[in-house]
Amino acid sequence: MPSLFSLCQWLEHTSIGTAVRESLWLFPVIETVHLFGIVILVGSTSALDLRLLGLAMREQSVSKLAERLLPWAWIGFIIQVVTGVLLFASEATKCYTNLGFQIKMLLIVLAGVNAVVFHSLAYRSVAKWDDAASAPFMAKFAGCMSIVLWFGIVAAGRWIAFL
Amino acid sequence: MKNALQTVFAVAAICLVFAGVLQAHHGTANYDMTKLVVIKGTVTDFQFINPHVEIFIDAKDDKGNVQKWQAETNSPNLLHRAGWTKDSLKRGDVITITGNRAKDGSNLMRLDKIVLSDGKELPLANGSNIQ
Repeated sequence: MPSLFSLCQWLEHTSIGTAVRESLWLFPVIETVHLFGIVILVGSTSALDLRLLGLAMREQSVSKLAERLLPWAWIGFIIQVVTGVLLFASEATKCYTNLGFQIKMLLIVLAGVNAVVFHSLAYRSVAKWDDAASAPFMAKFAGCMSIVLWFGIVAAGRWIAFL
Repeated sequence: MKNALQTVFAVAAICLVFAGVLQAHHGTANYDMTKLVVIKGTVTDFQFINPHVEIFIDAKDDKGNVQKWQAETNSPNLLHRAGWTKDSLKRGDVITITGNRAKDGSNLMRLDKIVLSDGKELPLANGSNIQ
């Protein structure tokens, strides 16, 4: 089985990785789209998180809000994966040893676990507290963790350039 | 409600502490902007790549030992507008580079000025875009 590092080396030398690395405009353009993507993703998840915490849109039912916002979160996530993989491919071996990148990937996994745990536990009983201004503790905890993790992901991503 | 807010503040406080750790790390990896070093050597590699163009040179120290140096500079896009191409430097070119050395003392610098062997300086930005 090839090591993760040799996989990074391979990715960096693909024609796509090379093109992003050497193009005058591809890298900044993809980076810009990556910023739009995080706004769509974190904007929509944070709005739902604030509702779970009872800090915003308390008169809205949680399930309706989730129904409206989560498709946007997925659109943002897909944009992030596509643009993120392209940026990663251009400097994969640098990212591999970069502390900011390592923390970012760890936090993304934790955010994913948080979302799965929320949907398979707290959100199952949403019918019981859908219109309540105050959600159960487990839902609040998930909302809080989501905000903290996604803000951490953005911060760690920004720090890749400075570590 | 009150508990949730307390949780938010507690986690925010933890993040701030963590940010302090990152800040410290950033400091050591940063460049010493208070002084410049001047290195003359032979280009071993020139990478016209995003996000920063990299120049690698072999330079001789006082004792005649070869020291490998790396100079990091602006983006290809910015340098392109200043007149650079991926062929602006090639292996074997003798250049004199001036820059800010990495604070960790490694042979890495943030390029401030580059002069070719014929005395010609390659501008790192075009007029209004000094970085």
